[in-house]
Amino acid sequence: MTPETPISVPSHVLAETLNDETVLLDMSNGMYFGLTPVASRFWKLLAAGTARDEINSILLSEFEIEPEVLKADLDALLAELEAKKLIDRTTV
Amino acid sequence: MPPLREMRVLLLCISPSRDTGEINAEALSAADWSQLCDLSAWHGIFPLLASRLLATSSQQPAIQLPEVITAGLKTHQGIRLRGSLRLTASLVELMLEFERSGIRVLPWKGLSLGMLLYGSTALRESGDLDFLFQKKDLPAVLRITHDLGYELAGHHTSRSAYLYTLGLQGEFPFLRDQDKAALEFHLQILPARFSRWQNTPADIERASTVCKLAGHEFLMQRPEDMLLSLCAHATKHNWERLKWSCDIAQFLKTYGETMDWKPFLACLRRERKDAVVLLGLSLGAKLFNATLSPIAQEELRQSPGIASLSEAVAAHILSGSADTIEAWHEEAMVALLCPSVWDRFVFKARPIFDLNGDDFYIPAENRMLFFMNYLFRAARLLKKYGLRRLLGKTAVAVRSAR
Repeated sequence: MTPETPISVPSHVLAETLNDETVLLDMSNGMYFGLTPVASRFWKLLAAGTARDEINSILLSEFEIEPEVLKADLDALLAELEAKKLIDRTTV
Repeated sequence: MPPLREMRVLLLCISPSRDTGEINAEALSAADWSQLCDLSAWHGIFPLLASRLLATSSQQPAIQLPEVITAGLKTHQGIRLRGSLRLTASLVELMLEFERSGIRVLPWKGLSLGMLLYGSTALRESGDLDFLFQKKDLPAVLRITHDLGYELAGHHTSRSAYLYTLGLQGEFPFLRDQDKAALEFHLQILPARFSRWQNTPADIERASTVCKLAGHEFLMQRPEDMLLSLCAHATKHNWERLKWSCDIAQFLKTYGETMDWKPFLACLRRERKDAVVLLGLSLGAKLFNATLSPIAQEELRQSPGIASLSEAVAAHILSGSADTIEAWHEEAMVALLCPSVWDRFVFKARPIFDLNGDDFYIPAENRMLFFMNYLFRAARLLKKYGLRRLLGKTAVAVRSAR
């Protein structure tokens, strides 16, 4: 999957954020999923429709993290979110 | 009683008119954390306090919360987020079904108000979902709630009799066993004994505020009706919890500048409901430094009774006392909600005349003979109290109304 692959949040997923904590609820099975502060910020930007490249730049400017580490972490997060059906990725 | 230090800190932390930058280390260092948390929980503003404190401590390095407090606040925040998501899911599920059935039901108070006023469903304490609806839609509400797994809450032996008595009060509670989700459907913003406050169908018809939740848009009361209903609800509960005056301050911050206060207050005055709103505005200004419109300030200047009641209620809240307010405050609140002798008579007498579960000898479906239940009720009360005591109770109601 490339950074250009469009990502969307399915309608059965609810999210709520307070400060740097986000919790997702999958309404189809009642399961909750908590996000770390970096993932929480990523989710907010994603939900706002920000492009993946731009998200990367914003996160790098806001958190002390190496670009390679961030990329690896985000790839792992997206894979997990997709596996749990908390996001949709459409391959064009 | 002098203001309690923790109440001052609480106000500093949650006030909508201040930003988190004004919360300073000095004020927090003197606070008794346990008392601060207990007070905020009692006043229904713990989610707001937790969120503000966590935001402040992450933005201002000078503010160091005790580790145990930070951990407790974070735990609470996580629980709160999950709880509000669960309620949001239930709300969305219900509202979409109401829309599909073509009936207009409005979310009222609760997390939808949190979204409108605080910008998050999780920041306003709420344990259930409240709705406003019209009587003609009761069958649809009963069907939809049943289809989604809810049942009427409360003990009853006859469903039809129970529905009739709930209809008299205008409030229908539901509970879903699987997730303990609780709903309350209201025909009116206040129970039937508050006779002046029985025109909620008009609120529903003219609802125009759009609340966005989970990607859907739902209608809520227009701001004027929302403010009136918030003030009436809080007055019914004597404004004892800070949560209600905080709502008013937050409301003023959100809608205060865009509302046309002159016609609104004039209309309230004609309907003799202005005192209830003025009390709310006064408390919002006194406790949270909310900005009032010049016309509202002028009306308050001309209402010394409201100002002194507001002073007394604010002093009671700031004292940190969890005792109930003094009897005269309570009587004053009833007088605000029931400004005429007739209002007060209905308020006192209605509980005597309304049927309850013990009075249903004729089933609610038997429209021809149903009126006889009222005769049976009179006979039952006569048997229970005797003629003299029953007349005495009625006389007390009439006297106190006067």
